[in-house]
Amino acid sequence: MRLHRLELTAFGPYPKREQVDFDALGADGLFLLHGDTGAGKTTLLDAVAFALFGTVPGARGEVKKLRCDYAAGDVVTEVTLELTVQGRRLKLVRSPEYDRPKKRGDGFTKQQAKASLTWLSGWEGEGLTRIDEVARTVEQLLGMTAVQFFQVVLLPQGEFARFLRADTAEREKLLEKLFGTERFLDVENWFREHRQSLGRALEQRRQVNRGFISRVAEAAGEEPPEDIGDEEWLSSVLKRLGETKRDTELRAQEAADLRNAVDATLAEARAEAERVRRVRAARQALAQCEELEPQRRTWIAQREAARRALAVVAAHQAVGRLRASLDLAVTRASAAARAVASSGYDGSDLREDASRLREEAGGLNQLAAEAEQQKIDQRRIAELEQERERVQLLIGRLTEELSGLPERIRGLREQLTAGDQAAGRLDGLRARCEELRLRAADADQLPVLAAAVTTAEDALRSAIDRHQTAREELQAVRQRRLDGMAAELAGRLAAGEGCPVCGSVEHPTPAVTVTDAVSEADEQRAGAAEQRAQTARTEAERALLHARAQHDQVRDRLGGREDGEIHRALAESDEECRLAAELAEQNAVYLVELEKFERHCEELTTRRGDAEQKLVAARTELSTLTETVAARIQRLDAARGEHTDVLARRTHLLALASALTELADRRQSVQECRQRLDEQIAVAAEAAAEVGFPSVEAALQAALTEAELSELDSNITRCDNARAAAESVLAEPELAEVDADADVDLDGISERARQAHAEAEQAASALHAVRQANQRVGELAARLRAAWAESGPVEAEFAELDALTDVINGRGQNRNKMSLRSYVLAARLEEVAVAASRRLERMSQGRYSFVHSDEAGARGTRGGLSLDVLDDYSGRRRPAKTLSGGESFLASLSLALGLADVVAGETGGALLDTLFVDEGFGTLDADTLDLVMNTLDDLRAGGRVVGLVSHVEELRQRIPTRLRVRKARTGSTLELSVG
Amino acid sequence: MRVLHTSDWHVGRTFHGRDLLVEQESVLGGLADLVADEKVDVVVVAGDLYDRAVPSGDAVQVCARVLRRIRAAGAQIVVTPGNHDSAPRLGVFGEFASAGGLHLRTRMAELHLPVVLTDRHGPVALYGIPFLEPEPARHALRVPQARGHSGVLTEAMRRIKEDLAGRAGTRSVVLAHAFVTGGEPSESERTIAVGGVQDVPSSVFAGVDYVALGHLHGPQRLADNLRYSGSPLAYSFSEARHVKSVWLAELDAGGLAGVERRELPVPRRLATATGRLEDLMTAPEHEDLVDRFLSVVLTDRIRPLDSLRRLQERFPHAVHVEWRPEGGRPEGMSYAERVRGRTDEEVACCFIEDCRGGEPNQRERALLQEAFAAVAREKVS
Repeated sequence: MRLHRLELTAFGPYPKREQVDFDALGADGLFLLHGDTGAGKTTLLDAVAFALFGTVPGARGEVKKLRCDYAAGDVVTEVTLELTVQGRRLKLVRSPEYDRPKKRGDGFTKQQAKASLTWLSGWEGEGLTRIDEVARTVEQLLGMTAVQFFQVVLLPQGEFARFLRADTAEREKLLEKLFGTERFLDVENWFREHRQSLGRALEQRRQVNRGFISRVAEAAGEEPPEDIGDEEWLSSVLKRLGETKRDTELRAQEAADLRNAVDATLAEARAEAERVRRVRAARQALAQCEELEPQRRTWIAQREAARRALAVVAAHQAVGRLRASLDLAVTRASAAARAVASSGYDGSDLREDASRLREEAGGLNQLAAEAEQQKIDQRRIAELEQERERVQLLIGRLTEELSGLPERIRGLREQLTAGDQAAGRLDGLRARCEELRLRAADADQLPVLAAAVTTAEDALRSAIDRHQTAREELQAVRQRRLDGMAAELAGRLAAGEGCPVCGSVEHPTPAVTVTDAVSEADEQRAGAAEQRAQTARTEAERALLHARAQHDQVRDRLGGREDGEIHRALAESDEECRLAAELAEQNAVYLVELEKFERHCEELTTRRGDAEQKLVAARTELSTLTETVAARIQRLDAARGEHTDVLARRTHLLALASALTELADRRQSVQECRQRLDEQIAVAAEAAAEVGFPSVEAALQAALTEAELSELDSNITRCDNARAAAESVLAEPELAEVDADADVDLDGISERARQAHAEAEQAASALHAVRQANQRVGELAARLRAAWAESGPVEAEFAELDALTDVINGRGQNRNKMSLRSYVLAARLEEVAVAASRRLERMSQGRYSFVHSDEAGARGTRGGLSLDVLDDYSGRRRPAKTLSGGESFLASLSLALGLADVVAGETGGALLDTLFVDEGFGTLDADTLDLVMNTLDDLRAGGRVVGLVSHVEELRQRIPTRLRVRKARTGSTLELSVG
Repeated sequence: MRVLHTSDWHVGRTFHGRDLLVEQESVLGGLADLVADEKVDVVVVAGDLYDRAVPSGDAVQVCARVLRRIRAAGAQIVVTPGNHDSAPRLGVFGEFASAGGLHLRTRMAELHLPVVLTDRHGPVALYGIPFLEPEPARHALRVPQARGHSGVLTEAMRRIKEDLAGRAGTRSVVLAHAFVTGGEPSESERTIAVGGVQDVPSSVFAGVDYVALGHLHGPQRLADNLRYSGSPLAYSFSEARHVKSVWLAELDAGGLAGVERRELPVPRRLATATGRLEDLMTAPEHEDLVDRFLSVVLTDRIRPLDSLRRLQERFPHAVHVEWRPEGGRPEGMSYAERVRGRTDEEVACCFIEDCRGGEPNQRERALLQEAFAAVAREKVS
């Protein structure tokens, strides 16, 4: 990396734009930056750092006050740096974030930080403008971050000896970044985080295990252990639980045995009591049977009598039925006798009389048919008389209706003739009316046409006038133009030239221009006006001719008739035409009416003929029927006797014959019934005697109903069964020995059994509880052991991780109290010590060299990155902190150079061709200063440019190339002096 | 179909503080010529396009120019994010990019949706598996019990095979960024170990025609169809003897027909040199090291001042110097002996042995490994 040019504006103490040409300054490889304290020497280095990284080193970096307070409000704070890195020349421009006065009003507004990178040569690229991208690119090119840069390139004021005096922890941070070994720090952190998360997971498992332990204790009915429970505790719990279980089982078995014994005794006592009860009951039943024996015998006797009486009862019932039949027959016979008596019959031989009467009725059959015909004929005669009356009335009405019709028909025919004549005239009348109407219109039009003629005449007259005027105007204009033409020609004449008109070269009297000269355009306008007027005149003449023609045509058509005359004739004609049209129209109506009357007349005549024929027919039939009826009526009156007619007499005869036959039959039936009854009475008496009853009545008394009989049967059976059952019980062999008077104590034994049961139950439930607890504890114990088995490896893993994490972080088993990162960095620091020692030996004339020490710090703090100084004078090591001020400067400078050397070899990348050393020279004596200068000369010889920042007077004399910073009340300025 | 397999571009990466963008652009730009010369149909980049989650503007532009040239040369491009890339940033505007032939397959939930390209033999499905950080991948792929990188990658391949089963007659290419068992690491890969498990068995990828792997920086062949292309440039001195290359895989009707290697130009070779400073500065046999990136071990008894500056006078690309005096370091440099030339984990073990006594046991070693891996992961994001 080589710097070329730095520009800064309104930055630090510099209010204006200042420029540093490093190429010029570094021509000799060594230059001095000097000036008064506080003038802004260090600010130049800050500007370089700011341009590269956007930040400034050390404590100044923490206070973001980069803008110059003296700068004018509108000057933008900006730093520009041109440099070459890795063969690429680039320009960096940066502005810090700062508050600038608002352009309008009071107060401040924030100016945002800006950065840009432009490639000047050595690389094709479009440049960058994002702050983070610029930073990334710069870091990649330089191969170092701001912190590294400040440690090896730009050795800042005050921070110079920091690395020399730092303790392990501080050195760790710095070296780590320089050598890019942050990954080892990350590994340390990873271990710590990993331990933490695994610890959390383990604690969760422990919590779960503790939960299991307290559940085991609870299930076993014990207090949880005071320490963390282990396998030993669990085994003892299980053992105690097993013993309790065995005891309880024993007790439960005993109680069960006792209960079973008492149960057996109780069962035996219950059986004995039952036997005694049965013997007693059987004996009681037998005694009751003995008591009932007489009653039983009576029931048997009654049953036997009733069974014998059964046959007699049946015979007696048949007697009853026959008696009822007889009564019915007698009643019917007397009814028939009453019927016969009411007809007034007084004969004795009933059946003979009946057949006689039927013969008489047969003789009346023929006359009955004639009586029917007589009735029909009499109804027909009545009908015919009515018909005759109706037809005579109809004939009278038709005759009257026909009488007025021929007169009406004749009238209508006359009217029709008049209508036809009117229709014949109608067309002629209408044509005349139309003709008259046209003429009337002509008569109305004539005055209008006459007026139009007058108007056209007027128009023609005025057109003629206008034309005349226009022609005169045209002539006037032409005249004036001709007049003016001479003046025009004269105007063009020149002395010595020929006249275009006359050819004369002399122009004695040229025409003078008249005032109202007319142009050709004027003449044309007047000509056009004349043309238009002439056209208008021709138009008007044509219009007049047309109007006159129309007027004359109409006047001829009227032929001299007056207006009034024509209108009168028109009115008369219209009236005549209207009348004729009315007549013709009525003709159609009359024609229809006539046709109607004629048809009606014809119809009436026909109907009257029909009615007269019907009247004749009715009269003929009536006279024939009247004769027949009169002949028949004598025969019929003889046959009917005292009855209303023949038919009624025949009916009477037949009814009487039936009644007589009926009576005869009924009387015979009564006789037969009586005979059968007598026979049956004898049969019943005979049956009673046969089964041993003295009479039928006695037998009926002994008889019983079905229900009574079955009740008797069941009473008897019940008695028999009771006796048989009792006897069979007493016959059972197991009851043979039973003492019916024995007394069994059931209550006492029951009480004993109840107690034994209660005790056995209690023992059983106690056993159940113990077994359940046992099972639950067993299950929980298995789960607890599983959890232990699971967490065991995690515990072991954690223990191992815990120990390893401690070791890696320089604690615990770590003997050296050295962390992994320190271990890694120690190797680099050793090399730095070697590289730095060569510079230091030279500057201290071989007295001092660096030695790396890995001892732990005081009070057990971590160690590994200590640097001691070996004093060759004493041959002893001493801590670098104990060096004097001047020695410290030498040591620090050596260390910085050594560091740069080792870092370069390690990370390759860009070599750093510009180096700044800020302050520290004031502490050196003249000889030492010589040595330092020699060292710096060596650096310069290697191609580097070294910039020293100092206010030491002697340096100013030694170094010819100087950049002076001048301080003033209005801010600082720069001044370059070479040679 | 010809598939060019590359990975681990790490655009924007620096080499011992040196910017490499120019070198990266020249090598990667050469891929475009390869595409044109070899008539490549598709270029697959299996992760770590950029070196950082948030690459610099210059890096983004270099990458854009390179991809544009490859596309212009006629190849489609399929890219998946590696452990250095930020998947959402890389995948931004992916749908639009697809329309232009740049397929950014960056979403875990969509890893089973292939880019389907067609040649005269039919379709080829290219599945891009983004780098699967186990924790988020377990969630995104809904396999909460999957163990480590291997578990989530197994689920990813299950999904892919399921999709592939529904595409009869389709050949397949899978892009993955992983440490497959049998691979040979170098110093410039950042470990992706989680809980000590970073390997993925190669059997996970069975049934795919060609698997383009990324992550390891040395080109290598685990099986005919399972290869690492390696990075296009060397990113550490341990890669000094690598021959950087890409694979050209040819797919015909029956699947993988053959794979050829194409070496890449080396913009600046790497070298290491050992000796005394004065010898190194003057010895003529070192003349061919002048243009190389150089790592130097100085054996001077006395540590030379300003050694790198001196070395750069002759070797302008010397970027690393280590002082290892012959006959051992002087007294008082015991730590350098213990630390120099060792990996971080070895240093940590050494530290425990020194400070506590007794080597760390297996579990402690695993813890340390996990810690370094976790720290490395945090650094990217």
